[in-house]
Amino acid sequence: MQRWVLSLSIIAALVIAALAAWLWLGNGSDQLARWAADGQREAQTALARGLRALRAGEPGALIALLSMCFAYGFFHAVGPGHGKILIGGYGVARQVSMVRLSVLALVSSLAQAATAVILVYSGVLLFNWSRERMEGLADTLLAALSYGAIALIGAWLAFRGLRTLWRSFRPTHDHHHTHDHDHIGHGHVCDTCGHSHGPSIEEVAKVSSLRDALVLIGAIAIRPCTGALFLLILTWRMDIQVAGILGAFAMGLGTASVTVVVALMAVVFRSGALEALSEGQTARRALGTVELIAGVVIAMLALQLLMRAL
Amino acid sequence: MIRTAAFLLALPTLGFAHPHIFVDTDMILRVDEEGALYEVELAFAYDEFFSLLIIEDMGVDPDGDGILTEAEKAKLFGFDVANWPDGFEGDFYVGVNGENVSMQRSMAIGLDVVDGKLVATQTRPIPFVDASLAVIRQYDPTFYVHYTLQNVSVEGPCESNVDAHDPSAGDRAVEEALKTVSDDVIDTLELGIYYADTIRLTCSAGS
Repeated sequence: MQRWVLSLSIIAALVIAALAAWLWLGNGSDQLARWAADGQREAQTALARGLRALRAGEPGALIALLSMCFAYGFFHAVGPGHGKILIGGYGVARQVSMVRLSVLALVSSLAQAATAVILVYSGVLLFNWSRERMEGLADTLLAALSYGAIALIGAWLAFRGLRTLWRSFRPTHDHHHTHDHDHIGHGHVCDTCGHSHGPSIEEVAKVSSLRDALVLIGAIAIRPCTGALFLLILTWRMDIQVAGILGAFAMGLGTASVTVVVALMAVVFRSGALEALSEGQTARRALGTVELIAGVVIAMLALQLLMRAL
Repeated sequence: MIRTAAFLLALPTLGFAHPHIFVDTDMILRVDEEGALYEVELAFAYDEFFSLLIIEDMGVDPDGDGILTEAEKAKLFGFDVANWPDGFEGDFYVGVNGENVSMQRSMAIGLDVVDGKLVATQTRPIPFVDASLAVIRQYDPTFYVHYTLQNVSVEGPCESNVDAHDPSAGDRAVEEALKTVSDDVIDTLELGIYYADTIRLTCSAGS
C-alpha cells in the first residue's frame, strides 16, 4: 500500500514535469496563449455589454457582470504570470502544505484586487489622477517593485538552498569536538548526528512562517491587474462604483482559480520528486538543490520582467 | 551555451506580453502612378470594453447606452492621435530593405461608434517609398494592443498580398532570437511583431 502511494505520487510528479516541459519548450504555451487571448477578448466584450446592462438597470445584470469578471480573471491568468511563477516556484522550493499554499494563492489574488481598488480610488479621490497616470503607475513603478521583490525572494530561496547544501557537505566530525555526551543510548546509528547544530530534514523543510507568507502576498499584490484598473475607472465614471469593486474581487477569484491549481501542482510535484529519497545526507542535498534551482529560476524570470518593465 | 540556457529560461516570460486592448483594422494603402507608396489610411475598431473605457473616461455618454450625439463624437475625435509619446511608432511599420522608414505622425480624419465599438480613422503620410519593395506590418511591439487586420486594399497600380502571421508566434520568436543571439537579445525581445501579418505589394507600374 505504502509502495503504491509512493509510486503514484512519483507518476504525478512526472506528469506535471511533462506538462511544464510542453508549455515551456514545446508549442504548448503558444496554443494556450492563443486560447487565453481569444477567451479574454470575448470576456472583454461581454464585460462591456454587462456594464451597459447594469447601467440601464436590467435585472440580474450584477450577477452576470460578476461572472464575466471571474471569466476575465481566469483567462487573463492562464498565460504565465508573475503570481504563478512565485507561487509555483515557492511550492517547489519549500515544504509547504497544499492547503497553505492554496490559501496563499487565493489571498494574494484578492490582495491584488484590493491594490487596484486602493490605487484607483485614492487616485481619483485624493490625487485627481488621470486614467493614463494610473495605468502608467501600474505598468511601470508598481510592476517594477513587484518584479524586484519577486527577484529578491528568488535570490533568498537560492541562498537558503545553498546554505543547506553547504551544511550537508560540511564534515560531520565537527560535532564530535563540541558534543561530549554519548550516542550509544539512542539505539540506532545516527549517521548524520541528527540532533546536531546542522539542520535536520524537518528543520530544513519546516512549514514556512507567517513572514514568508506576507512577503509572498505583498510581492504579488503590489502590481494591480490592468483589467481591474480598466473596470474600476469605468465603473467610477459610470457611477456604479460598488459593482466595479465587487467585479475587481471577482476578477481576483478568477485569477486565483488558476494560481491555486498551480500551487497544488507545485506541491504534488515536489512531494513526488522528493519522496523517492530516503532521509539523510542525500535527501538533504536534494532539498537544498531543489530550493537553489527554484530560487535561481524565480530570480532570473523576475529579473527579465523587471528589465522589460524599466 | 550559457546564452542559450539563459534564453530558454526567458521563454516563459514571452507569454507575459498579453494584450489588454483588441483592435480590428482596415487598411488602405495609397500608391501613386510612379509606384510610390505615399499614404496609408487606417480604420481602428476598438473592442467594446476599451471603447467604453475611452468614452466614459472622456466624460461622454454618461448613461452608457453607446449612442453618441455629434457633439460627443466631436469631443472624442482625435483621441487616438492626441497622445503620441516619444518613441511611439504608431504601431505601423513600413520596411524597405530591412530598415524601417521613418514617418510623420498620423492625422485623425474620422470617428464613429458602431455597435458599441469606437472606430477611429487616421491617415499617415509615407515618404514615397518604392511600393514593390515595401514590407508593411501593423503591430504593437509590446503586444499590449492586439491588432487583427480585417481588410487591406490598395488605391493605385498595385495589388496587396497578405502573409498571415505564423500561429506559432512564440516558436518563431525563439528561432529568430537564437539565430541572432546577442547580449541584449533578452532585454530587447518583444513579442508583438510575431503576431503581425505581413503585407507586400505587387505593382504593374515601373519603378
